[in-house]
Amino acid sequence: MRVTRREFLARGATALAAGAWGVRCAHAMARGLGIASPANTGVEVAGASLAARVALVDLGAACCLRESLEGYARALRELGAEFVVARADKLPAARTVIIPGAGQIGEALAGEISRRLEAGSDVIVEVCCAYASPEDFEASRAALWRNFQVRVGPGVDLWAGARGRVPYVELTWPERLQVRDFSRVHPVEMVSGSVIGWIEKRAIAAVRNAGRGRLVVLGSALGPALAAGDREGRAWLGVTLLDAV
Amino acid sequence: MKKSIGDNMIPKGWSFEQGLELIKKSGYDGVELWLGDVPWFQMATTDAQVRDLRRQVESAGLVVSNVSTGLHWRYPISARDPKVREEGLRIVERQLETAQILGTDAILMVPGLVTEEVPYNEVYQRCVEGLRALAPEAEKARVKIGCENCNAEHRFLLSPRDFAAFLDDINSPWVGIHLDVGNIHDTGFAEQWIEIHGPRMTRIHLKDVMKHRGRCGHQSVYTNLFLGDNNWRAIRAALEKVHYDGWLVAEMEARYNAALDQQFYDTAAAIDRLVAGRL
Repeated sequence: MRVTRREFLARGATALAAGAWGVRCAHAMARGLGIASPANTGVEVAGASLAARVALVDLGAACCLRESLEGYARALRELGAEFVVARADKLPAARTVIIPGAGQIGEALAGEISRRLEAGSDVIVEVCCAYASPEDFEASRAALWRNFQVRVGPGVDLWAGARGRVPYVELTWPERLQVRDFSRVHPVEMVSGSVIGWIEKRAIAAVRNAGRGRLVVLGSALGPALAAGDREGRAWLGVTLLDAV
Repeated sequence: MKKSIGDNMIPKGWSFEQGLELIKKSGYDGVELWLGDVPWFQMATTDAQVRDLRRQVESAGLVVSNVSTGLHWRYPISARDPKVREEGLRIVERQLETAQILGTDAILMVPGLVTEEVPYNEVYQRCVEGLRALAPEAEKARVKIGCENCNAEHRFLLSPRDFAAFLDDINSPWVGIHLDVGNIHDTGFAEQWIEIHGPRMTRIHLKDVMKHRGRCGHQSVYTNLFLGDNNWRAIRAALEKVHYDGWLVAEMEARYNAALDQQFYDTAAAIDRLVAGRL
């Protein structure tokens, strides 16, 4: 059965693992962003399902938003995707690596991300330093720039003194969707990458090819919305996983 | 049923001891202690000082009916900031600890705060998870957590069935509802909340409400017993129907402008009539 991304979204992103439909649909989905399509990543995916293809990284104390980790776990369970939760230094091979609530990104974690990207994984890093200490933020910012040429700005409290604002992040890749913001966002820029998320004219998410994989940096935490059962957030995650196949 | 009133009603400038004397003299059986809302009972108050508060209460011929707090308006357990949430949980833990020391078996908390920024679904999820985590501590302390229905103020759990489903999701006999019959405003009828929640009610807050007056400037939607729109005869009947025999705790927002102590006497007399069914 072939299912398009549109059909997937129309189904409410309820399950990824219902048959093998998820595997074949991703090839037609590459956008004109210069992002590698699954066909040219060089990663063997034939016959694979999404099962056991996702590694969810538990950063321990370096995760400053535990509910984000729980939110991704819940969404992955509800999507029917098999996944493992693992420490950064004990990651199994996985097509997609998700790092929720990253409050401290040091050289060791950056090195692990690089290795995964070289091996062809998609790595989603949710930067969440707004709830970490200023020192941790500065160290994370430096590591992201040094290793990935990703520029992350200080956390912005969108709701400080705000009245009547629209509380949605506009994600434009791999599908155009709106998800709830998470109060504090980090502006994100990438050298030779594409902005894929906006809020109030601020770029807060980006993607680029890196190694044989792709690096996605989210400057607005998605996990809490996933924990709260946000349909569109879950759909974005589902489509992103499909796109990684 | 027994009568109580909050120590946050004690007129400003009065000592705790003076306040207790007034509470006793005006006919109450107990006092509700408000953590963080009065100078003598703060988060920094030590266990020894809390023991001393108990001694003072008992010396006045009273008991502590329950431990309440207004701190969760500042530190809701539904906050997005993990540090604020952590503080909110710590406040409940301290309430449980002090309730044990004070010899009471119930606390009041405001379970969550829906705002334009923090949406309902997030608040619900965090509150259920937070209260599931707190329930074993409540059981260990043998103190029930009463989640107050603040309906219009916290824009959360607006109907009695919503509230019941919320308690079902938490699924612990140590987490119930601290029902405030004045907080329902025009979103329902207090007597129906009493009927639906019955044995899950840990305590009851009493005040009256003017259903059609919104908050505006210094005007309060709340008023003193029998001056508002609550159907007190129906409330009394519902209490009897569900065999509620616990504490009735006066929580008056509208304060007297003169003769401040008179409000204690008037409220006690009104509660007596409610209890006696002379309505």
